Amino acid sequence: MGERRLWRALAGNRRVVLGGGVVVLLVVVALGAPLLAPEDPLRQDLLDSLLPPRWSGGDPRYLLGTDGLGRDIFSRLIFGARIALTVAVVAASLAAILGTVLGLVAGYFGGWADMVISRLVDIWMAFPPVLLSIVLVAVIGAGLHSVIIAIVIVDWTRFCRVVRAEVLVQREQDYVTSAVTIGLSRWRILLGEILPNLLPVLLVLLTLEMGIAVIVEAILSFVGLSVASDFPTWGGLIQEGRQYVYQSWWLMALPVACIIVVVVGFNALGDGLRAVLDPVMRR
Amino acid sequence: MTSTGAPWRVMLDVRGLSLALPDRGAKRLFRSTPMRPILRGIDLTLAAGESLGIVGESGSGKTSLGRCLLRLYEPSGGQLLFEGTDITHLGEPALRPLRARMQMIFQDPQSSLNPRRRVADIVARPLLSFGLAVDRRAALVVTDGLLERVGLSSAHGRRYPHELSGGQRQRVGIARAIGIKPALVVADEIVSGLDVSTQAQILDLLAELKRDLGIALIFISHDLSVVRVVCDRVMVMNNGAVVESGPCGALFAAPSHPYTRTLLDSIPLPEIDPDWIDGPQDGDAGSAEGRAETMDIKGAVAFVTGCNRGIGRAFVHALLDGGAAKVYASARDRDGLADLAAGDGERVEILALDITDHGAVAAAAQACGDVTLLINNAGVNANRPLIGGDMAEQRQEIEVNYFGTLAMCREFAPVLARNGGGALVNMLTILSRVNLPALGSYSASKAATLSLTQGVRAQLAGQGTLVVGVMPGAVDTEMSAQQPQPKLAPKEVAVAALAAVQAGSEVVYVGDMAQGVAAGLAADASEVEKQFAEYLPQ
Amino acid sequence: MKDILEIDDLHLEIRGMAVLRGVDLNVAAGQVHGLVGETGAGKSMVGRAVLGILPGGARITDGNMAFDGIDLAQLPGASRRRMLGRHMSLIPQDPMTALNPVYRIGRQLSDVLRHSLGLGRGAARRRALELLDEVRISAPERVFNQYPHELSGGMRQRVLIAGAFACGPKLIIADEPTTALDVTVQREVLRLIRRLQRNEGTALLFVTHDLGVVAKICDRVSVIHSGRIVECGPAEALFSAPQHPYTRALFAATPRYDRPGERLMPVPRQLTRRMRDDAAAYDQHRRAMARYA
Repeated sequence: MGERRLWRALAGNRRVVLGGGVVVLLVVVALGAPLLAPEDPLRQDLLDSLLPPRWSGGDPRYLLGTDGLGRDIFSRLIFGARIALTVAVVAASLAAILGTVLGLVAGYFGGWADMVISRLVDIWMAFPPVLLSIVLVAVIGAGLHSVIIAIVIVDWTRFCRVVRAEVLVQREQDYVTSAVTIGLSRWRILLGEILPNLLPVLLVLLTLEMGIAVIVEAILSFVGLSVASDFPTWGGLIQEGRQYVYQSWWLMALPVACIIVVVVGFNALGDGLRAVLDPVMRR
Repeated sequence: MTSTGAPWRVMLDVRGLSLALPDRGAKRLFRSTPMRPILRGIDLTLAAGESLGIVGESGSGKTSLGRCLLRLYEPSGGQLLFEGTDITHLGEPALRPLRARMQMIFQDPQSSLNPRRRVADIVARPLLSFGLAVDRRAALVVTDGLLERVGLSSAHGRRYPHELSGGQRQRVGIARAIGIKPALVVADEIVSGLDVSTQAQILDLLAELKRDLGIALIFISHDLSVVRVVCDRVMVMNNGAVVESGPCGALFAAPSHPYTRTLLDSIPLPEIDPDWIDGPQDGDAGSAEGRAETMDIKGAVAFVTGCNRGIGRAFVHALLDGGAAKVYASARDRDGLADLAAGDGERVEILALDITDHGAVAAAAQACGDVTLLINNAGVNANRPLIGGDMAEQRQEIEVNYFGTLAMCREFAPVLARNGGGALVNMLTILSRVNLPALGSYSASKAATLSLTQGVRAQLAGQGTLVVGVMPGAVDTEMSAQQPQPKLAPKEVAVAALAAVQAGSEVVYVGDMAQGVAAGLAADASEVEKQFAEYLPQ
Repeated sequence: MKDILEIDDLHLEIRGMAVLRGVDLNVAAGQVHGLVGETGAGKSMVGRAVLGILPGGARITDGNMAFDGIDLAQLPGASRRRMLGRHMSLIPQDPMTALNPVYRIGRQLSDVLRHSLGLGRGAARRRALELLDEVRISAPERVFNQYPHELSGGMRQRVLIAGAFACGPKLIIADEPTTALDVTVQREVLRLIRRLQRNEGTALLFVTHDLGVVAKICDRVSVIHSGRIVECGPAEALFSAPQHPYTRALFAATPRYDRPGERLMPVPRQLTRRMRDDAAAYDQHRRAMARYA
């Protein structure tokens, strides 16, 4: 009953459908990259360098043209989606887990734990996030792992703050008091009673964080701190395209467009979820 | 107390229970959160199967008391015995097995039912948690029976709380509470959000369950009419203290405390009575619209005399702790007052005032026009018997204890009236009631002041001023060096006096000795006089 | 006596659901008319329809409302809004949310006076202080400079009453004005409303669920259920000999501390179900009639 109404509400929300569609497309493209890509994204053909997209007079073999080394842009974008999705899912989830655990502890147990965690968050928020992640990656060394670690370390505070505030609200609800009167332990109350009531909020935050993670990854690969430079990432493609921006503007415009579409998709999904889940879940 | 005969017949035994909670609103940067007193020395007992109504207006502390009784809050003082076990400060793991015997039904079934769980799960959870059902399936079978017991069907069990009506949700709350067959249930305002027709159904159900299951019930409500339907006994609370308690029949027929009467008179009964709204209100001279005569210390502007010594100083500290907006601390000379303002200079104003100088008292009343709480604490004690003492000293006792207090009452009465009634506290002693020959002249002067207090109370009732007479036993100050032991700490006296102001009590006996003497006087006055005669002057 | 408010066969729907099904209700000038009903009976919607402050999705589908002889439906929106505050006003239920928390009490009262009566700053201030004094606030100057959160619930309700009476309106809609208050405060507030209403000769439509409150303050009473008035009459008559079975059932369900032995009788389900079925049948009938019209 409850679930069915929820699904209907989700299907009826334009932003959820649009955002969800983009996200599903991203997943399909990333997982099916070897099947979908017409060319090997790493195969160079200097004779075919800097070809324009097919519709503006390029070679029909290359749908979106080629880059300075004659690599197929279309295939490189498709494989770039793999990195984007990996970072989005892994980094956002890890940040969510770390932030949620600390937020739950701070909000529910209060006292010392809350003092320490809240001060830590305050100090964290004082650093400019992008700079912090660049410095972090520079210290740990470039690579996909480092990018993910950097995003987690920078962005856990988003989850922590929201979860802590929400726990403070939920803690005062009588269903929590009632759980005390039936003898549940504090951890069982926290995980079994309060946490499920945070899921809608967490889901929304997680979606928005995935969009942010895609951007941060792009920034890091733009400054050359992500995966090895020959493997295609959207940030890396922008960086390469920057050199040819006057002759072949699409080299830069296409990956930028991919990032925009994906981030807008994540944000729309997050906003839509927020709109749908709020009234149904928290009535 | 566990040693007495059959401890199981007494479900709850509560002595002097007090509770203070952090007052976040009053927190200042870099200071620890100040504590706000919520409950001030509650006594109550509840027998198995009995139902007690706790009534009060918002802020009376009735809800906090209910939660304290179930140890959802830890009391800050007093003692709380549940079925003979002292649970006052018991830790949560030790409490857990006891929780199976005490349950709560909440005011707002919306917030008390987890919105993410189905009704059947909510009702089944206590059964599983306390091991009363072997597994989920067994629990759900019991749950079906419980839902039926409270007038719902098993189809309701598959729904979420927000899909039910208010009355149905309250039934779920009841089913959850009775499922584990508790011995005590605390029901907190469980019908306040419901329509009369739904309310009648729930009350009906509650009465039936109480009868069939023999549950002891604490029924908290703001509505005396509802309490009367459900309860055997009733307890009226105001400002964190018990104003009056007794069997429903007696209390409703003849309430002894004016606050209870005000509360009863305020209930609009569904019958035509033009006097209820048009007639004069009791004790109402047109200005204060018959407000219940109680006063909050928080925000009060107090004037305290005799602040250079024990009780006076204790009053200043207690007033500041209680959140008074301002305290005028006076004594005959300023010496010995300076340190009172040291900690909290903005709120304390020090002044020299000789209360036997009528002109000076009048001037003080002029200067301190914002006073809402007058505490006549100054007094002298020659520590001498009536015959053989120094006559000049004895005159001085009357001069300060009687005329000084009179002058203060006379001059400050209009100030209090202007500020909405306020309160006036006269420090008396239990010796006002019975003469202690060793302190014969002091006792006599304080007896005069007791009579003065009664006269002033009658005269100021019209302007809505609460007049409190405080009668402690021997207090540990230099003044009472010769009085019998054991002695009270000055702080105890000041705190009790302010609690009386908050609760609207007109007479307060502080300490076991004073209470014992007062009880003795009521039973057999001559016996008390005989005992006191033993303290003859050497 | 002249009727200041005449409601005739008022029908109202919220998103297609019938909420009022032909309400007839007349409020005489200078009288207090009680409108009693339980949750969902539609009682608040009557007041809101008169004031023209219906919630989103609500639509008047039929009937007439005349205020002081003027057909409210014919009145253009701007004149209708000008009428609010000046000729009719509202005492709301929740004194916590009805005042704007960021402005001082004095400013909120003076704004009403300046806007509705066109008073100057000084005159508005003087009148506001007078009003605060009239609602028995003991220190008007102090309250004038306070913010809503600094006042107790009872004090806030007094301020709102001052605001409702500010421009000397002919009709005040009081929507459960004492439900959120403690009983002792409720009595003071009811006495205050009654005194002001008498002195100013204002008519009051007093919406409430509490039969006790109705008994104390109202001259006439209408009982509403399922969007229809089931019984209407002078208060004395209704309280001494209620006619409709639903009214009688309400009395039997109301607990009274002065009648300890009396057993509470919940309103019989068959009765409310029958009334609801009647209402539904009536809706169907109306829809059928509309098809032929």
